[in-house]
Amino acid sequence: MEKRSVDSRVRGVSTGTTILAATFDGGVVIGSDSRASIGGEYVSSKTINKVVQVHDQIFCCMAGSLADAQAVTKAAKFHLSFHSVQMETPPLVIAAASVLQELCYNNKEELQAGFITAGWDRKKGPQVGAGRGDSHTGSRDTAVQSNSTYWRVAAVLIPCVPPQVYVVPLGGMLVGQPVTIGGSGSTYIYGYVDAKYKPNMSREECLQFATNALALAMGRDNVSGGVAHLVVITETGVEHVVVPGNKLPKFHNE
Amino acid sequence: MALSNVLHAPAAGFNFDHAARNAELEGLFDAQIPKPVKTGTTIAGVVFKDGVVLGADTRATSSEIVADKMCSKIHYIAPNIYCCGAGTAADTEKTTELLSSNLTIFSLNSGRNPRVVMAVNILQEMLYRYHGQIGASLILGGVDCAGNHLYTVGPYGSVNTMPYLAMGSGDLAALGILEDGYKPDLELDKAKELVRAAIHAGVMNDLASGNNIDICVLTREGVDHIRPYQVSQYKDKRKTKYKYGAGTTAVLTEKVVPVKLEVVEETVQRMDTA
Repeated sequence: MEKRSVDSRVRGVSTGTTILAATFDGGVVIGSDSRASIGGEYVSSKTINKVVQVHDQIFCCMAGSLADAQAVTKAAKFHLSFHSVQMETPPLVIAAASVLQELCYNNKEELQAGFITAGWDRKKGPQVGAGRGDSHTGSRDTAVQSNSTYWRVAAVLIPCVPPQVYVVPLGGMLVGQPVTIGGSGSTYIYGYVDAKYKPNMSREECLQFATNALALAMGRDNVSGGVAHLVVITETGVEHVVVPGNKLPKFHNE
Repeated sequence: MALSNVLHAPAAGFNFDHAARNAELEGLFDAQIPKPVKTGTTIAGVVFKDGVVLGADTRATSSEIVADKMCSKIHYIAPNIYCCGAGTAADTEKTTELLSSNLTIFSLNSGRNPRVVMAVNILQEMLYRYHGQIGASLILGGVDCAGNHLYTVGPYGSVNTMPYLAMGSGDLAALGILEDGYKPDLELDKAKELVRAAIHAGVMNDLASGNNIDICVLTREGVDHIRPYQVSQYKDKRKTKYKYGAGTTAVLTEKVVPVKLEVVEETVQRMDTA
């Protein structure tokens, strides 16, 4: 089908999509569905890979136009690889997210792609998302040791857990959160995520949480579906988990 | 990066200049933007045990007229890489020619056979740069040291890889056949038959696909480009001969004027071809 939609919908192949990332005790789970559609009319691919490795222990999920997202992640991979050679150390997750943010913000007129970045680095441990978003948060004071960071906001020190998942939506904002969801299917699972996510879950609990969330979203969103791709990133390494469509958890009415 | 465009490297970063210009040009045409020749088309590819089989129909349409009944949609890229093209005929032709030239230069420079991923990356970078203005949907298949590969590149620059693919206006018809018949590690005959059936489904069910079916088999041993693999059963027989015999048009007058030529200068240059 060569018809191209001229309205505000994504031109060409769209990832439709449900993407998410969540931190647990000792690592991070990042995952997505695997459906790609054209014009919201038919499924052009049932097994598209939306979880892209941008560095050894940093992964990205893409949403929006597949062409734009693939181009941006390619550029980001290059920048990070170059950056890590220059710094002689693996890049920080926040660096990865910042690279994506720069690309998305500077080209925001032409691009229609959003991302979630998650990974593990030695400085802050497991993180999702990334980046200093807007200037309202004031200056960040990283005076404290390894696991806690203090944010100076209007001269008041607020202790908090360092932002762990980074989300770079359309437009190029950058926000760090312990858990984040994105894509068209995410609207159906905000309630589930808000209710069920707990910080410092175990690896199995977090994997189950992510699988359930993806299954619920895929069940309701027509442009999300296929298999659930999950990647578990910890200090020791990276593990891919693929849950085929028929093995996804079933809920009532299914 | 690397050798994507050997003769002229594009500037770093995204460049959307042409997209703005094209948007402005659209406003200049009052009635309709002139329609380019499209291939309408069913193209498909399947990875089998020893390589890749590519298939395509041979009809090129210009709106409702069949512009070319025996058009070649399986383009040569490299000795081990071929590409099927759907979309605007000129775009697929020129894009694949450009890719082929660049890869030949690369091969000569580096002394290596190109890999399919390299071809895919070059195509992706080029098509993305043009932001969908180049209407080329391509299926690239090839065999290299890393195995048997099949990729699809969309007009906006998205890339996907699968063991079986179909593109073009007849893709859904072909995909039905492929989804039903595909198995991993098919034998050559079964793979050829599967691709033929897929293209045939496109030919039968899509108005813009038709005429004959071409097949191209790529293996480590070489390439077998069978053109046509299946001839259309609806091929028409012309009722009369349209060739005019000598004497059909009467000659009324004849005037012969010899042109006088004078040898002004003659030089002989020996070429050493030893």
